[in-house]
Amino acid sequence: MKPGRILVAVDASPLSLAALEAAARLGDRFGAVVDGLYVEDINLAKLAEQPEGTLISVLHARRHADPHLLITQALRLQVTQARRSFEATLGGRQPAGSFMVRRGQVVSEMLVAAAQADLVVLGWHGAAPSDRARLGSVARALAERCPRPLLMLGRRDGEALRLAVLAGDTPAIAIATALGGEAPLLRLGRLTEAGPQHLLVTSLAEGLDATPGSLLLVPEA
Amino acid sequence: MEDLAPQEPPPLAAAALYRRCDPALLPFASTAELTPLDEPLGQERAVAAIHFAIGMPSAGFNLFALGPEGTGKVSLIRSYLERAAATQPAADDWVYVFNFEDPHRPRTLRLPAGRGAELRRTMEHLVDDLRLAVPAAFEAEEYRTRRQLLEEGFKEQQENVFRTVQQRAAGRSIALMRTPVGLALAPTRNGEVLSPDDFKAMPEGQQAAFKADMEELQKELETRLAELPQAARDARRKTRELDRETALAAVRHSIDEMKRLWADLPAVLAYLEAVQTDVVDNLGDFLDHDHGHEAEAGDEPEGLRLGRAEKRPLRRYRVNVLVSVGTGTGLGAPVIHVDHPTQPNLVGRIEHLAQQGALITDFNLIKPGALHLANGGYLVAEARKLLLNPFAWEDLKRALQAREIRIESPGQSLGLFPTVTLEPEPIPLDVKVVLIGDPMLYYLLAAHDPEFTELFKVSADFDWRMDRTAEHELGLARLVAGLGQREGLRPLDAAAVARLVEHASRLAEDGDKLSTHLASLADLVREANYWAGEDTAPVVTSRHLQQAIDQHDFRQNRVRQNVLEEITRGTLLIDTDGEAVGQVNGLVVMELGRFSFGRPSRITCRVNLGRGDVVDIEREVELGGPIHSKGVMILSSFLSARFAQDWPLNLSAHLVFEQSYGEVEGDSASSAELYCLLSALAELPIRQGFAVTGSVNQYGQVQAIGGVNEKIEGFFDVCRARGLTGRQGVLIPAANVKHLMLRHDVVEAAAQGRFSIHAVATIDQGIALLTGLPAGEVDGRSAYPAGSVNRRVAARLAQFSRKTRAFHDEGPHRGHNHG
Repeated sequence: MKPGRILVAVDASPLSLAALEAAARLGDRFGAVVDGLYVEDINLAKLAEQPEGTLISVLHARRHADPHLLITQALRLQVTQARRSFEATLGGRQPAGSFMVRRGQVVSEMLVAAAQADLVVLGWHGAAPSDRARLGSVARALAERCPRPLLMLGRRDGEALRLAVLAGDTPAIAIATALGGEAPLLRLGRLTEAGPQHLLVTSLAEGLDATPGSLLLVPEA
Repeated sequence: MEDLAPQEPPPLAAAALYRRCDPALLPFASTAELTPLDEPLGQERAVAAIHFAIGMPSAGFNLFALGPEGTGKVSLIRSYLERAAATQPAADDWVYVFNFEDPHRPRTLRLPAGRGAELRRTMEHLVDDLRLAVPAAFEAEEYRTRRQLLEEGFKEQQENVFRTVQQRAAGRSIALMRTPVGLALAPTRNGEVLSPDDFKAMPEGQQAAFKADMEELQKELETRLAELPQAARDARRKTRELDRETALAAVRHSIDEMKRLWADLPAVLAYLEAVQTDVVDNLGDFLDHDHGHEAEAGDEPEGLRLGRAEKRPLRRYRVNVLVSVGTGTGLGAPVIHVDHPTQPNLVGRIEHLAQQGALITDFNLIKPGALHLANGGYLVAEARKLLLNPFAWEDLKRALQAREIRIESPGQSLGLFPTVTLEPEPIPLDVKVVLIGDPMLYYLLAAHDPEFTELFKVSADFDWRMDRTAEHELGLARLVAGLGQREGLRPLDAAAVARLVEHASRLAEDGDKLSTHLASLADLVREANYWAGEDTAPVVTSRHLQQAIDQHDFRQNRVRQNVLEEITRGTLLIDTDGEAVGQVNGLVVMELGRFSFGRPSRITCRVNLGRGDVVDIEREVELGGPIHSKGVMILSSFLSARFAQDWPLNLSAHLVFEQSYGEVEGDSASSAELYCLLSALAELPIRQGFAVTGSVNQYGQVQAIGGVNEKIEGFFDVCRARGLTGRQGVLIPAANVKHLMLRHDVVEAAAQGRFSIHAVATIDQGIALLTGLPAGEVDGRSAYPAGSVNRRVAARLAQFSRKTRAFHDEGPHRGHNHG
């Protein structure tokens, strides 16, 4: 299986930039179209309009004086940065993809968009990628419901991973092998904790530096 | 003082011209029979001073060895110092280590001899150990688990705040959401934030309840969030404590082992304690993988190593061994001879390396100077070189006064370069300094540098000559025997040694003395050995020695030959026969490096009516030195005192060295000038077969001069080239007779009556010899006898006086009109 269309979630956070980069490389490797998706959380959008809403600074442990303006500006800034990142990374490449902005519930919008793609790539902030139960709510929902292979680029938590050469014929290995293209050697980690639907990826292939500790999830056949 | 009676002195006997050394009186047939002399010869005073300086422990009793070069000062001092040093304990080792409290002031550690290198080695092993032990401790599962627990604990605390408030909010249909700019609370319905219109559509009571709930939740959130920074700080502190605890456990074992090794040295223990604290405080240095190359750094050039200095903080745990047994000193107290005593070579230096346009340094780049190496022993340096090198003399004095070595660059001393650099802790100094120099330097320093005499209280005054006693003659032979053994030279037979003794007298310019210029004598023996080798002779004979002297002379005498040639060809006007008024052969010595020779120089004098001036033409054209001018002024005094008691001197006399185009210095020609002046005044011719040397005082006494042998030989060579007539000779001061060690051909000619040397004590003796007339002694009526030289001089001066008086009485115009 070779992905012809890749969807990457972009929100301008450092990990989403890493996801964008990984998606670009995968796109180059497979000649796939890469589309970017920014989901504007409907609740945040409403919050920006709700005069009764309250915004509290985590840094200062204090209420912001003008929360509506601040949230509005922050959301606008986020979408602008996401678009710039997408264009900086994928602008001008062929085949050209598109950058989409959707408003709604993040998970449901992602799932809708994912239906049009062969592979979904996103960054996620979880600390223990082998433990699906500890994933964030969005990541967990996507991991459970995404109809397409899902590559989640995690953050390294300082743990030294034991390396092994991939062997076997589970669906996850099959998709991982496909993602590796001609390079059959995928160095994977924590095989004992890897199930047929998810693998911990340390390196997708030579020259592709997906963040070690990433999780590749493959829906059950 | 009464003028002395004139007596025409007879020629000196040949035996007076040269003091022979009789080989038959030497108590050996060949130097092969002799025990080499390992004591210095003829330097008893200097040796006593050296012994005293070595034994005197008080400060300031450093030694200055003064004497001409070639007298064996350096080798003698070295041999005495090395002998003394061998019986003294080895000097301590000194190392520089990092100062953890003040990195710009590296600290010193004083260690027993030989342990400096051991400390460096054990510290290197310690760092190697720690580089493995520290990362291993931090990679251990126990550490990782404990750290994760701490981190997770804090995250859990954060989540709890969010979750608790979120749950409470959810119960009241209020959403707590994370936004890019903080946490937001908003009223919801069915999980979605209410729009403003929906909110307004609610009953007022419900709206008020929402607002009150949100207010309450907001306060709770603020309160809980405010507690998080403290929790974060607590978490970080606990993490740091865990790190320290882990590091200490990893470090302590290795450091304790080091401490056991250095238990006898409290200073090292304190240093190790500081190292332990620093390692624990700077764990990152041991956990950075870049440091993995440190292990191979030992073979790298310092420049390359320091080029990566920023990545190599472990350099601060190195030990810079500044001085250690084996650094160049060996066992016993060190004896260091500094050949090139620049300021850095003396007091040490801090080297710098250019890195990305900046000069950087650290304590590992501190280099020792000669004072460091000599600390606890002896330092030998040549005074002249020391004084020629900027700052070296001042820094040496400063170190001796302060009794510590402070490493400062010249720029630092002057405050020229206020860049950040190191100020290494000074090292206490206990050294005996021996300076070697010529006497003039010693006297100048003593006169002009008040600190000099405070710091160099002992002088070893090397004599350039010694008495020619049987003991010293034998000592010279034993020195030759030692030289022969050391250098594999042929032995000298007794006649050769005798010739060497005579040559040593000639070098000393005194038949009663021997030169202590052992370098020249040793070279002569080596050259004689060469000529004996050319002869395939088993021993060096007097012929070989003479050949060596002649060949040495020949190699250097080109200028002398040229001068002689120009005289014999008539280019340089010198008469060696006949008579002339107001003209005499003076004698000068020309020095060309270490070769000197004598040559005659014509001196003439013209007199006329004048104001009593004796004009030295050399002085007028600034070719005469002050001593020469002094000699000429003495002539005026002599003339006035002897002949102008009753009337003023009314003469003008002009004296000149003919065909002299260089500077004339010295007063050895003043007697010749006086003879010339008397001849011109008396209008009596001087025998040109004579040449004259000697200075004269105001009473007409002839005084000793230098270079008497060369001067006589110079005139002899000219006379011989033209043919010896038997009427030729040289007038020398009587006081110089003891200095005569003339060439064999001169002595031989004198013995045959073909050339004569006359010793004169007074001007009257000399003028009688030169003119053939008695000088004349003043009688009871203050008159000189008729026909004497002095009578004629007095008459001529009286005539000048009368003419002057007449001139003034009659006026110049009349004289002119009738002239």
